[in-house]
Amino acid sequence: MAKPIPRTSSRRNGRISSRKNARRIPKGVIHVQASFNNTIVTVTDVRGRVISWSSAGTCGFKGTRRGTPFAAQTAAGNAIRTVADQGMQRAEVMIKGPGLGRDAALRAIRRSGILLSFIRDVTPMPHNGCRPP
Amino acid sequence: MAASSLSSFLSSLLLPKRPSPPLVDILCLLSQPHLRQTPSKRASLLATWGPSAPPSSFSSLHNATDISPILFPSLAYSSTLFFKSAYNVQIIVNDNEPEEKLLNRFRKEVLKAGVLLEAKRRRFFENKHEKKKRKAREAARKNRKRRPLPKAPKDIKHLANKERRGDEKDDNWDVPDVDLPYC
Repeated sequence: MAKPIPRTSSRRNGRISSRKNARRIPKGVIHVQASFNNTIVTVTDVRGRVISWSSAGTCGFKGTRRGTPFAAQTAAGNAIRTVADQGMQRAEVMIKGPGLGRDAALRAIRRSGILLSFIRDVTPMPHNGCRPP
Repeated sequence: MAASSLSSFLSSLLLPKRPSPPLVDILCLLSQPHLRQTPSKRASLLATWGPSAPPSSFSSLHNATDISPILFPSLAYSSTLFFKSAYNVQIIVNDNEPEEKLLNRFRKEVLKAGVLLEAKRRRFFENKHEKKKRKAREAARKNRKRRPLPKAPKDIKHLANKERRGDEKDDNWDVPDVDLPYC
């Protein structure tokens, strides 16, 4: 969803979670998972805790249209809009997976005005591991 | 580690011979003038014995790429060690880089690393036959790029023509002056 995920109450024992919903984070990481059928854009902080996410499916696209570059563009735009309000200026981009959404999401991120420090491709590569289907 | 022990062993061998002038020349050849660190004898000794090429990432390391595998042998594995997560390709974004240029740079790096090809290949299982076919295709493509088929040189054709004419000249077309029994 294009809104921050609410914290569950499972951590009430030891930790006092921060009360305010919007954490001020100047720097974050944008993960883009671009598969053949869909594109998911997740914005996390530097440690990896998710702030907000958006995907082509949640943007209203259905079926084969989710895998298109335009859908990836809207998903990225959606995800960044919520985060820009929280004051994120710099971000790293981690792109995973083959798919048409790679370039389109990167373009949308670039156009949104966030400063990019790194762009990394983190597609997981097995060293001849599991047998594919 | 093995590298340091080997280098120390070799340096201990060379030291008593006082090789300073030729080693300095080798160092000047090897190192860039603006390189900050130059370990004195290791660079020349490890020049022939170094790990494989540094990773395709780190597009901003211009200065030390020549002897960085010698100076920092573990740099080749930086993509797995550094940044807490392994990456295939990394691009460091310069300030005010135009969007298209950035995208093109990213695409080129990804193409060089072969990420998309690899992902497509691992999507479905390929048995022995398919693997062999794919490898043959890739080898053919590589050979085609490296060595375009040379055409047959023209000299051979000329020679063949001349030889033919020569043969014709040497052929004996005259009728022998002999009484033929059956004419």
